[in-house]
Amino acid sequence: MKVLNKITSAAKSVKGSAQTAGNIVKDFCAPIYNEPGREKFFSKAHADRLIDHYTPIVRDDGKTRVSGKKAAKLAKDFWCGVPHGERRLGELYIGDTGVFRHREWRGVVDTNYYFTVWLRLLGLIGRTLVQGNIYFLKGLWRYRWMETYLSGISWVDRGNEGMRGPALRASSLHFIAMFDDSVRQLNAQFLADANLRGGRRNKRWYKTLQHDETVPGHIAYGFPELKDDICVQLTTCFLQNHVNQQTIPWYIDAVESIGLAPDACSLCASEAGICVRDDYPDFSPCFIANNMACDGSVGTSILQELYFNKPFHSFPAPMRHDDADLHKYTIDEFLGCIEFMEEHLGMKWDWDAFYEGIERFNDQTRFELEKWDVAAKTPYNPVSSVAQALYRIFYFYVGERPIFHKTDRKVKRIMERCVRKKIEPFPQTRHRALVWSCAPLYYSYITTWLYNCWGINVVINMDSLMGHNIIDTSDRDQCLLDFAKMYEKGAMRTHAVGGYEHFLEVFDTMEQFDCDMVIMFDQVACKGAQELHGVFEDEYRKRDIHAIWVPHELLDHRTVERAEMRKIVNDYMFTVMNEEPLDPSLLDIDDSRGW
Amino acid sequence: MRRCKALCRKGKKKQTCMVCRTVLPVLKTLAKIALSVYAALFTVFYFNLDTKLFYRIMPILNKYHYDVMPAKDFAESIKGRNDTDK
Repeated sequence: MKVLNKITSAAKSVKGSAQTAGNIVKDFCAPIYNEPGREKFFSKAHADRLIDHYTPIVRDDGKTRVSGKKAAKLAKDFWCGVPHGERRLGELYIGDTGVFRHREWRGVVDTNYYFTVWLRLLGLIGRTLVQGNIYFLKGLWRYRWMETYLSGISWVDRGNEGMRGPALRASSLHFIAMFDDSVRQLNAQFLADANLRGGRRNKRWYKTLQHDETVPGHIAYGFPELKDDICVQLTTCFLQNHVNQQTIPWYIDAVESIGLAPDACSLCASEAGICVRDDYPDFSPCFIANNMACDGSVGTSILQELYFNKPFHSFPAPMRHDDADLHKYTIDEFLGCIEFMEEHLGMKWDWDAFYEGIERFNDQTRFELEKWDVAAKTPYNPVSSVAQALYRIFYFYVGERPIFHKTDRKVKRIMERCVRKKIEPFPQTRHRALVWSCAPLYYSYITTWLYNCWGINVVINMDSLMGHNIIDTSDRDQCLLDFAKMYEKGAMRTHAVGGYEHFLEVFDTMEQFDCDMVIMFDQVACKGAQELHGVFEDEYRKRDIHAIWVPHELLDHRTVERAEMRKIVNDYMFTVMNEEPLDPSLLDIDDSRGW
Repeated sequence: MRRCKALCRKGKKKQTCMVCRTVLPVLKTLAKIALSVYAALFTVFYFNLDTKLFYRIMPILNKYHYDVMPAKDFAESIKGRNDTDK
């Protein structure tokens, strides 16, 4: 009796606290729901939906009854998660905000696992504040693009939408690694940033290297005394667009206001726009640029050189990257770059340290090739397409880091278990697809949507296939040659430049990865890709290949909205493939005001 | 320990075991705190309250801070900068 009284009073106090907390949350969240077309929070419609979905009550011809069968199904779904094909992920979205009403219930085990992922991300944010201390907050206050990272956890949620079991674990590990390294980069920038110190340059400023996002971090391996090397546009431009589509247009508009034509590539436009808005941190005595991926980058570099107003060096690579006679130019440029860095950083290049760094990067390349092997030959690859694509481009340009090795070890264990026990992480795969051409950075997780809605499992994408040769460090000349070859085949370079025959390697790649479908990303501002549009159409028709052309404008979501991209896929799947969606609630969602 | 458990079960006031006197109450309190923290964090996690919070905050930050930050005239700022200046 005493125990019962104790439990009752505890339950009453919990209920009271929960009601108070609930009222506070309701008032705070109410504006998110109180827009036209959005279901009101705690409205009758909302309550009816909750009853229909989450209770064993069944309404039949105006009568309500409790169904045992429904109760058993609810209990099973609670424990294991609603299976793909029955779940309705589209109903989680609040109107046009792209915000989930609540996070997915993936079953007890997977939801708790994802809860620990969420706690880890919060822990990383906490670590950022401790390590970066006041300068991190100053950076948030000074730079508009920093605001994007407040929605960083939502980025991980969207990338992992619908994932279960090994797919959830492997993909989450990749996102955590990218989050971790982004935090490192942001701290490294702000701790050395002269803009946050009234123009004063501290010791860190003199020992940090700033380079273009398409110049890989390998160039810093030979300087073990360097505090850090940062791809300056990775966090300011590239990654922030994946996290939040709404911020970049502000920079694109800025550069167009000073005369840039609006049909220029939005990647180059936004990098230049950040200069116009004076939103780059100043954390290094020099800057290394290059001509990757194309001449648009050269144009941006001209503006950046004027803006940064510091010693500036270009490390270009020949366009014809498979011409054996041209590799020597890349090697000469690399040696010139080393001399430039030695002069302006005041450090001596150490070849042994460079070889050690390259060997560690080779380990990452070897595991990447293993992942491709599993993806190409089996249905047991646990890494989702968006996690694989972003992680690949991330570590290729950041260079080798301890977090990437740690992630690879864990993902390897998951992958080996899937192969050994023949676990299919994506069991509802109806089509194995290859994604070709430049992907939309404001909608990188379209591949997650493709699987959840239509069962289209994107096995590999074009950009991931960039430089993957193992660099031989036993001989300096061979090492330089191998490094040159890897450098020349950077992102958007391997296939999109260097001759049309590279772009048409899509057919060989489809065969290698056993794909029956191609998602052709049609970057409307990429003149190089547009020139071959007709050739691709003819070849797909001739070979009877299902190719869905999805237009986009790389970083600018205003030209082609996400909803339009989804509509094109839906139309193709309904009219040409005559298929029904796995999750009809995802067909027509409005995330125009979402991140 | 067994004798102590028997005494405790009978509701005897005199408890001779040190574990019952000191360690168990501390463990019970810690467990209650841990459970409350877990419940609170899980509630924030499941109902997506962190994302909703930032969805409310970001427009306010834009309107009252970023949109009203003084803008530099880019053309003026790069005037006179060329290779010979470095």
